[in-house]
Amino acid sequence: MRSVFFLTLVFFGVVAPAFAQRGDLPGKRNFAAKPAVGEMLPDVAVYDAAGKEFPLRSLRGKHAVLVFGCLT
Amino acid sequence: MRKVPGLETIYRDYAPRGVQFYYVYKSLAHPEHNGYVQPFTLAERLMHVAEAERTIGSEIPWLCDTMANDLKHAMGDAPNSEFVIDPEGRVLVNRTWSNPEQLRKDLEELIGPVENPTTVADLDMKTLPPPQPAAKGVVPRVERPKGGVALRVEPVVHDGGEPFYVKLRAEAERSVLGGESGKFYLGFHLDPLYHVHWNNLTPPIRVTLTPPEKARFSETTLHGPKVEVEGDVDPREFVIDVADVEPGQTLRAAVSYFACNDEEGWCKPVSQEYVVRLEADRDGGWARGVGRPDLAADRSTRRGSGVFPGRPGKPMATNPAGKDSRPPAADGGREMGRVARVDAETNSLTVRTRDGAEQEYQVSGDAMLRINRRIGNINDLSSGDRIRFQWRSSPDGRLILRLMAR
Repeated sequence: MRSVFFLTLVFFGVVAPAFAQRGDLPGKRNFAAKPAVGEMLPDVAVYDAAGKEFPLRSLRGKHAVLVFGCLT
Repeated sequence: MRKVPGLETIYRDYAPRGVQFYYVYKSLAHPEHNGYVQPFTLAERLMHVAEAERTIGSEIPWLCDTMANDLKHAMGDAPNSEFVIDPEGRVLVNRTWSNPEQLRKDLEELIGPVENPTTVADLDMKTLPPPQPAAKGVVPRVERPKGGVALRVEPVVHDGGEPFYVKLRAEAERSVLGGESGKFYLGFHLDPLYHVHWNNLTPPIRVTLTPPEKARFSETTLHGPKVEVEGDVDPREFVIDVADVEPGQTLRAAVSYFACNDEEGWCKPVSQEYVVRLEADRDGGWARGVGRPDLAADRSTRRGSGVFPGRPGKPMATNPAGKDSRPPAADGGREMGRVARVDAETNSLTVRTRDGAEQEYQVSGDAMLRINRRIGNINDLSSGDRIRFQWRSSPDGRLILRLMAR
């Protein structure tokens, strides 16, 4: 039983960091990953088209669709 | 924003059923396309939002990211990502690329189907062209440094000063950012949202550079070309050689030019300054197909669907003026390997082949990337990923056109 526990610890000690590093690029800065399904929308305040501050938490209460874009 | 018509149909059907829709305006992915350039201030980014509303004809309201691009960074840095959020604020769907067809299916599942879905033909979207106050295509474009990296540019703003009618785009070869010698690009682009043009009856633009300490520049005083046409909107571009710069140092560029606005009836001399920081601007975007004779801005070169569709394109002639430029006939092929390194800032990959050799590739701005059977982008690739790809030689090096990763 102790050997199984030890092997499990070794497994997570070796494999988990490998998975954690999958998003990391050796020697290079990596951009933040997009929020995963189930995660909360980040609490960032942006602006509406009139320039008024728009905290994203104000989307709560209804479903919302956000699509990123720009002129080019 | 090619997905806009599809998104607008979904908006028509599901907004009345309580779903909120927003486009989020962020930094330009491809500055200079249609003349649009990165805004310097929030007020200018809001001008972009108004311009998007005007030219795209959309009904979905816009939100505007902060000038630090906080939301773009927090949501994965992709140019056209799409998210569905539940009423508690949790992410239900996160897509690297907007997919209206799939989005409709998502909402059918969440909210319920619509009896008579709106089609694109039902929309009456009035799209308008970008502003062009004067002649274009008069001044030949210069060829940019290979693999140039966009640098951070900050305007020196004075109270009561003129708007920055001219936006500076600075790029440097990666060698320069690594402390070695290389080429440095300075492009002075008129911002079309101010409806101004160069006044060619007056002395051309003059640029005075103040290099950082100990740096060597091949030139520090630059003059624009003398142009016969009275007024035009083409950028004024310069490429110089630099050496002995240290990453993070700054240089100042002071410009003097004459600008005219025919609608408002004025012409005036303008003198302004910019500070260029010798570090990559992760939000600078990539000016594709412009001054890069290997890359056509015209997407019509992309054929059909799938990663390796049909025959490779015919070789095309090179035009140094940049107008109607097409890629030169060149070597290329199909390869398999593993990703060794990804550099999303410069849109490049290092690939390790079976024999252990490593080769660097630039990813074309028009490249079709299919990752785990979904359309993705370079940010979705990680070291170790197995890839198959098609590439072609170009003046910028080896250029990936299509890529599939699992």
